[in-house]
Amino acid sequence: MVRKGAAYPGIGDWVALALAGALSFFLLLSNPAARIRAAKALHTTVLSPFRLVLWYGSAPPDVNEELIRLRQRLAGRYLDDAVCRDALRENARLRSLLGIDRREENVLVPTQVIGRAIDRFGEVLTVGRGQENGVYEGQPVMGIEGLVGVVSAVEDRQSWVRTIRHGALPVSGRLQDTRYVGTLRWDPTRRLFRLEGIPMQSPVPEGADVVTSGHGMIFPKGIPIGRVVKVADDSTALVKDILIRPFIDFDRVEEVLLLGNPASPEEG
Amino acid sequence: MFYVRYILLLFVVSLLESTVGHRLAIGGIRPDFGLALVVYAGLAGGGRGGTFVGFLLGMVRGCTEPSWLGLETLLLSAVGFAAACTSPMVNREHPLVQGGLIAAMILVHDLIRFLVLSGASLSRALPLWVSISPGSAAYSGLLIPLAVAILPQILVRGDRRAVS
Repeated sequence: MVRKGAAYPGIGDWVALALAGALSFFLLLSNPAARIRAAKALHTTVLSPFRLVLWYGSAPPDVNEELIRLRQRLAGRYLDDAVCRDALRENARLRSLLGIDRREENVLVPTQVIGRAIDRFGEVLTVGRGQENGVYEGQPVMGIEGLVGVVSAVEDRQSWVRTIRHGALPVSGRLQDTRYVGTLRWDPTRRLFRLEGIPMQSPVPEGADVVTSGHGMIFPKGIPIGRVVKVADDSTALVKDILIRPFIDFDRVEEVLLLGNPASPEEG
Repeated sequence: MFYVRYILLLFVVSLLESTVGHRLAIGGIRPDFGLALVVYAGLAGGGRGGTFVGFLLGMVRGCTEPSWLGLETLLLSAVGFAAACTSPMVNREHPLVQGGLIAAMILVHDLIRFLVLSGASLSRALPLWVSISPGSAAYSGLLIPLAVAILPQILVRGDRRAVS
């Protein structure tokens, strides 16, 4: 049964199909480079008026060129990776030659801040983990954003953390870019830290980050502390007056992380 | 007039696929507007119309996949021709018939395409086909005839030149 307005293909239709098939086979069996050239030619001539609209928000038109660029970048990354691995191996070898131990791997134990107090010298936080959980005196304490302080006293199920705003806890800080080391002290009137002991001639850009230096054996090296907000240029002084805003908002801290190493007693 | 209309529709479909196609994806399954257009061209324009639109769309798609330029032209021309062959036997204006035809054509087209791309390895082609094609076929078969039924009847208006 033939529906109205429709008919079975005639000879002209079969010829059209044969032509399309022959052209397709010709394209398929041609040299790959020629196929790519043909596709490019078609793209730049016939499709060029529609090119911008067609490819808007989609893949870039020159997919092959993009692919070649990406492959080149990937090869570069492989080379970088190989260089890094080589440097790591060399580093390990030199450390073993010099007799330097591997850096200890730290674990972070989260805990809640359950109290806050101000003693004569500054601020102390009470946290909900104690000796039973492996907390020990002198244990460094961090927040998500950066350094908080150090455990100053421990009981069975709670402990007290002296924050770095505490007057009795000077912290050795390092300017991350220039590598100069100074001592951080809390300035309660400005509510900022002062980084002391940085030589006058040393360049200190505003916005530079300050991290722990690792000196003093209390805090591990490289924990973020704060950012330089002001550098006073007094030509008569011997050292720079640098003000640091801490990354941690001490007034709102609710959770802290106790920084220990796997050898320390684990939490119960 | 048929050819001009379908060339314009071809660009509209390419535009749709490259702009909103990914927004219509459900679980990574996208409707195949291009293949549906070829089916409609076959239904409305007969063997020559379907083959022509299929070949043209195959060339456009080949631009994005130059190493397989020629494969889509062959497959889509065959799809257009096959749709034209079914045209006298079915009620081509019924959305269910159109949807079924589109779904069937997508299934066959994809199977052949995956077989060719995998070097005729059924074990490699079949998992790919199962993961993509039935979903795409069902989605396209439901969505596109529905859209065409709602939109003005520009695709299946009796513009076919009778070929005896």
